[in-house]
Parts: sequence; C-alpha cells; structure tokens
Amino acid sequence: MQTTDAQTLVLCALADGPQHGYAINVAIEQLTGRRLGVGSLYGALARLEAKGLVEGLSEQGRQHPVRLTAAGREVLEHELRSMAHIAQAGLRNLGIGLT
Amino acid sequence: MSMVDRLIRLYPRPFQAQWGADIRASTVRAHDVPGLALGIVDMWLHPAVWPADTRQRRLNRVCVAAVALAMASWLLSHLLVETDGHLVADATREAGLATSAIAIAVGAVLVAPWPRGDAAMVRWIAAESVKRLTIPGAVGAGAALFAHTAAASAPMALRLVILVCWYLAIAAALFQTCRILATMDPARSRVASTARVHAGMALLTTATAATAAMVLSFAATTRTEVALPAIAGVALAALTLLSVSTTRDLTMVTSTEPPTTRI
Repeated sequence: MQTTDAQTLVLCALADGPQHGYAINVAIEQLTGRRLGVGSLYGALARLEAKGLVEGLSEQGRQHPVRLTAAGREVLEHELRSMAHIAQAGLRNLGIGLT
Repeated sequence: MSMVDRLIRLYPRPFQAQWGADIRASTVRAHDVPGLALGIVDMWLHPAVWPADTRQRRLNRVCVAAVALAMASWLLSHLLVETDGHLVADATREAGLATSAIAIAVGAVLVAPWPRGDAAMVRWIAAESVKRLTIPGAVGAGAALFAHTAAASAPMALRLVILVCWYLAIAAALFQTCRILATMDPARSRVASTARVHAGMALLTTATAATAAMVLSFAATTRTEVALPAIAGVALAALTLLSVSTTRDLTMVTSTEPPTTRI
C-alpha cells in the first residue's frame, strides 16, 4: 500500500472536488461511519501536500481549501486498484463473489 | 483566548500559519481537544511535513531535526557518564560509550546545514550567536569558575544547584545552536548532499541505538542505583526511534522516484 489509511481516505474525499479540512472529515464520515481525529486529519493533509499529492487553493474566508494534484489522482487510482484487487482475491478465497 | 486557541499556538509556526484557522474550526465543531494535542506532538516530531515553499527548506528542517537529536543523545549520555561513575568503571563499556559519542558528533557534522562563507552570513551568524549564546555561555562560565575555585568549601546543596545550572547551560546552548541553524536562510546555507545526509543519519541512528543498548544493559545488570541509567536508557531508546522516523522523513524529502511510489 502506497499511503496510510488516513491519507487514502483524504485523497478519496478530495476526488469529489476541492474541500477544506472540516468538509473532508464530513465526507470521510459519510464514507466510513467515523471521522478522523483532528491531528490525524491535518497530519495527513500536511503529508499529502509535502508529497505533492494535494495542493492548496486561494483561501475562502479564513479556511484553506485543497484539491488533488495530477500525481495525487494517479496515486489514489493506484491505491484503489490495489485495494480492489486484494478485496477481490479475499472474497474469492472466501467463496464469495463480488456483486 | 480559549484553550483551543492556546493549543493551536503550540503548533510549529509554518503549520499554524497555513492550517490554524481550519484546525480551529474542526476542533471546535468536533470537540476533539485530545486529537489536537496529538497533532501538535506529531508535527513537532516531523518537521519535513511542515508547509514549505521549496524542497530545500524541507531538507534543511530535517537536517536541523537530526542535529537536535544528535545533541540530545550526546547530552544524555554525557550527563550519565559524568554523574554515574559505575557506568564507566568497565573499560570496554567506557570505550564503547566514547566511540558512540564520537560517532554521534560525526553524524551531526555530516547532516548539519553549513552557512556559506560570505561576509553578510558571517555577520548574521556572529550577531545570532551573541544574542542567543551569551546567557548560556555566561552561566556555564560562572559554573566552571565556581567548580575550580569555591566548590570544595561550598555546602552540598549549593554544589548541586551549580551542577544543575551547568547542565542547563549546556542544554540551552545546544538548543540555541539548533535555533540558529533552523533560522538560517536556506538560500545562503549549504545543505549536504543526499548521500552525505543519509550516511550521517545512519551513523547517528546506529550510535544512539548502541548507546541506548549499553546503558540499558548496564541498568539491567548493575547492583548500584538503577533509576538514572534506566530512565536515560529508555530516553536514548526513544531518541533512536525518533532517529529512525527522521530517516523516513528524509527519504520522503529526498526521493526522486515517480509519484506513485513516492510514499
């Protein structure tokens, strides 16, 4: 796996378009049923920005929206394909087909 | 000022400047003060991920963090060697600790960013050194003077206070040296080559791990006072883990692989 779980979740949330931190966490809650801790969320955002996978947009009010970069989109696609491959293999081993 | 605002001010300044307003909004809405506190610790341990306009600045921060780790490791082992005579009673262990201390110093020299030798930079370094090192230097000199003149006839409590002042002066001088390195303009400093920084980190991590192992093995086998070596050994082991984590940050900053594998 290329990114940590928190980073993958943030990339997933941003695949829907640019968002600021709180909105990203709401999207993650809708996806997984729980939010990231504040430290984990902004730690993940800072790491993704350091790796060039997300970038900041001009500020809206006092908040700081971010969006996926082309490299971020590429990494996310790679991550999701690996996860889908693992899920498919695991389900096949369990005798369960993907619907 | 609310507790959340006070805590946000504890984040490193570049991180606070970029994410402070967002973090405040998220923390207040989610009532997640413990998460905020964990985030502050996380960011101080990983200067490579603080917002930066250039890769050079990130690399500079990792190098300064590595120097700070080296100084903390050296100070801890020096303090232990100076205050616990049993630790160096064994000649092999004494030689091992001395070798590790030299290796830590060499590691720090290899990773440290160095100023360019232009006149403006030399003036800046001189001014910063006077500003930041005068007080620790004066306290250290006072403690040394006391040790060489009046210590023998002084009461035990006063000698203890002066000893504490001596170590605090060393710690403050090392801390201020790191601040000078951290505030040095990256455009006017020379960060070592990637290979040299990696070699320095490897040496630093190995030497800190070796020191931790020697101190912990001493603490486990000694029949004398065990608390100080045990605490110092655990602290050195923690510094080793921080060195490993800083090495990972360094790999992230210096990686030239394509984005899909650059994690």
